[in-house]
Amino acid sequence: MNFNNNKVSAPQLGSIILLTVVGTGILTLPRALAENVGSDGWLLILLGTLLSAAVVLIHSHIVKSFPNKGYMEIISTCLSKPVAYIVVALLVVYFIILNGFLVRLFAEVVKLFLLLRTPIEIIIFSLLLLGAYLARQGIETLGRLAELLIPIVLVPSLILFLLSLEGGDLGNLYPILKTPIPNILKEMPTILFSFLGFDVLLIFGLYVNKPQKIAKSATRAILFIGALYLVLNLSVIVKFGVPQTTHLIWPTISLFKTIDFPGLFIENVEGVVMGIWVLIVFMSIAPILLVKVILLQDLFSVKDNKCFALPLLPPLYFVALWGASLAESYAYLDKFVTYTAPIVTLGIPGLILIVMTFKKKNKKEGEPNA
Amino acid sequence: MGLWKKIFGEKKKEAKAGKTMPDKKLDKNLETIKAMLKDCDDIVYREFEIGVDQDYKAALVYVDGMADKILINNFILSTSMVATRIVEPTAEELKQQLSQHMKDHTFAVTEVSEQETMEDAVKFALSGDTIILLDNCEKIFTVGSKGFPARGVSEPVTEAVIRGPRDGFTEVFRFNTALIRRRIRDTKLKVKQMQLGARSKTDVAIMYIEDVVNEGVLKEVKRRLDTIDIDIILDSGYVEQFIEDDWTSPFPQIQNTERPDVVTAALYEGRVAIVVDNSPFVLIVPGTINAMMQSAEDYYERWSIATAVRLLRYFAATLSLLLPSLYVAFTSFHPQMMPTQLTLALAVNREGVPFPAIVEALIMETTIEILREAGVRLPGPIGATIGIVGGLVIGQAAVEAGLVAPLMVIVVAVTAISSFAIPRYNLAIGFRLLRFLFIFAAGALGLYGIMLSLLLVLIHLASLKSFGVPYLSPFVTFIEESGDIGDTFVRAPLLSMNNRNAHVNPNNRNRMDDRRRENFGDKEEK
Repeated sequence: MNFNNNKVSAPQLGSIILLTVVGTGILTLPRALAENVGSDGWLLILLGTLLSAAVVLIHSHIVKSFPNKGYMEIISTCLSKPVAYIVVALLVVYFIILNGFLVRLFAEVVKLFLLLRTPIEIIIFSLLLLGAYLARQGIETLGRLAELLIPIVLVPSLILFLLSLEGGDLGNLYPILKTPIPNILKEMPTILFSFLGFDVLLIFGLYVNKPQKIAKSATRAILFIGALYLVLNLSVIVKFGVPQTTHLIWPTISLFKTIDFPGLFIENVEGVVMGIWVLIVFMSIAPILLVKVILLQDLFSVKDNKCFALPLLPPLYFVALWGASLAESYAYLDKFVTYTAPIVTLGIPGLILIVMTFKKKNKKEGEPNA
Repeated sequence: MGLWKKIFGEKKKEAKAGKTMPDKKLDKNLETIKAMLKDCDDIVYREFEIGVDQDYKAALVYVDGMADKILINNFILSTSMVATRIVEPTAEELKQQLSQHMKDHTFAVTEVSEQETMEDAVKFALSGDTIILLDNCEKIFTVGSKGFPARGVSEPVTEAVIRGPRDGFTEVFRFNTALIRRRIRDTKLKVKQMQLGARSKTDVAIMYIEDVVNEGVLKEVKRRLDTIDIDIILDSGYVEQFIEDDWTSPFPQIQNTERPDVVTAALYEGRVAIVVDNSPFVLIVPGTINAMMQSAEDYYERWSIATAVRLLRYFAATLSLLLPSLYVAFTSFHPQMMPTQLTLALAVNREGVPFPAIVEALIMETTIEILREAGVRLPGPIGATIGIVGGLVIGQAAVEAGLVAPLMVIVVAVTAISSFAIPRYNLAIGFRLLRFLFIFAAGALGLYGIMLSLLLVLIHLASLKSFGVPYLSPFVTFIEESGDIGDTFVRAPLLSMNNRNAHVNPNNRNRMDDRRRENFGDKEEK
């Protein structure tokens, strides 16, 4: 038995991935889908889930093929050392920007629904401090916290979904398959954005105690997220219909706000929703903070990474307050993600995969000669 | 002692550092002991002579009050003084073996041991045994004659149950190990003893089931106990604070119990028990929050009832942590989030209260904590009076004076009662402390503050480990080891608890074979 082993189990990694991804996408997904593909969002979600699952399989394959190697080591093995330094440094910047914008979105929601008169700076700062605290505790704590929070978050959410079904109109789901296929393919980035965050797998894979189980747990997490998005999307469309959904800023919260069972004293579940919401979003921000800490540790090749948690806060804080308004932040984020996310989630791992297969081939061809 | 060592230290080859070896002469030995125990007027020295002609000198030394005088009189003194006059070892070779003869034929007591050094012998005497010195003999005997005043076995005060055994641990180390041993007729129950405390030499025993225990934990317990370096150990609380994983945490990471049945059950879960002399609280490691939320009774009642009670307990724990802060958050930040009727009722309720909700909550919570503390110190009947006076009179008066809202009194009362529904006092006190953090957070940031504090507490709890086992087990490993959920906020039927909890990582997980089918037919099929 190891007393402080700095390891997580594969299901814990799955939980981390689930919470990281869900926190990003759940807020605005139904609106984005309704705007772009009308009532055919479910099809897009299905496609997105399958695509993400495929990418996750690639990621887990890479992690599995390099046991006991961090992401930076993997990159430097495949793409040479200087490249690794540059890529990892850029990754840190990428994650800072991504994380910063998410913090901003989250803070805006909190301000709107919970703390109208509190300055947004305080909301952001308190959240970041807590995230730094978790990052200092390390991956083991994060893994356990994620597994603990899974039922705490999911059980009430499912109950809320059930309650919100009342008063919906299934007719809102029609027409089916009206959107032309090119349009659906064009909207793939939107849906992929909702799945963003599973790339933490590449960095956390090193810390899983049974690497051969990563693929199973991670794919399960992605499928689960897909199912959750599907339920969410369908519930929102059934409840509000496509035209109304496009005008909601936060469709998920609006959905839960409609829950009303006066006889059962369930008149206003906003408190519960916001409570769960804080948990979910924190758990999508904190793992990425830890990812940055680990990347920085690799970059500077030091043993203890605790010292990196706090210095990360000022840049994050700065990015979070970048946009003058919510809409502006959203626009920045959208642009940023569209250009960079495919490179990070697909480009670099794809390159690694190609180099890997070539090296393997070379080895196989080389062996008989030698 | 320095002089003694100077003269005889070189002669004794096996002399240990700083220890005095016994001399052949009785007088010398007696002098040594008297020098060690100088100014200790509670020591009894009894010199006597044995043999037909009373030509062998002997002496015994014990601490008055600590040793059993009847035993000494009847089975040491009378046998050596009277019996040796009847049957005397006259033969020359027997004279040489007087000590062996005395040990084998004269002392009619069960525990006789030989001590190598004077220091060891005196240590035994100070724990209630009797030292016997013989002339012309380099051996020192100690005879087990502990007979100090002790409280009898009585019902555990802090862990009362309605159904279940009523015996509880006492202050006597040996009684406590016996109470555990009495329940387990298993050769695999091991008791490893040691003495801790440089001066107090307190007896400490590690108890475990050899083929069930988590060996990593056992090794770690031994290692950590060996690191303890303090002059005296007064209670198992000392040991607990020396060996716990995180001393900054408000949560107890080592379970303590007054109940032998709880210890026994824990031993068979693969845990390790630490019994400390002078303390009726036995430590159990590794401690998990789940184990501390359980009561022994849960296993003696039928599973459905036990499950309901456990769910209630977890609910109460949540209430005791969150209720006052939720009141503060909802009244001062989010009145729109409550049902309209409730908001209106609350508004009427709070009309005329001169303080913001947070001040109101702090006043009442502090008051109730003072009452609780006062109640603990006061003798039983007065304590109950304080409860009534505090709870009813002060609450009522505060409401009538318009200082607090009636709802606040209800909130505080429910919170206080809820915190007493947590079975472990030291865990409940952790929750009570954190409650104030939550009140402040709610006063500053409303519901958002509460959720952040909750996350803070959860992160801290998730980071805690007790002897290598995560403190929140099995809630943090439930996907892999879903069987463990059967003994958490639910209590599965005993019939289905075939395996020991995986999170403790016992050596042997099988408790029993699944016989539901054979015993109950198809009714109980899984």
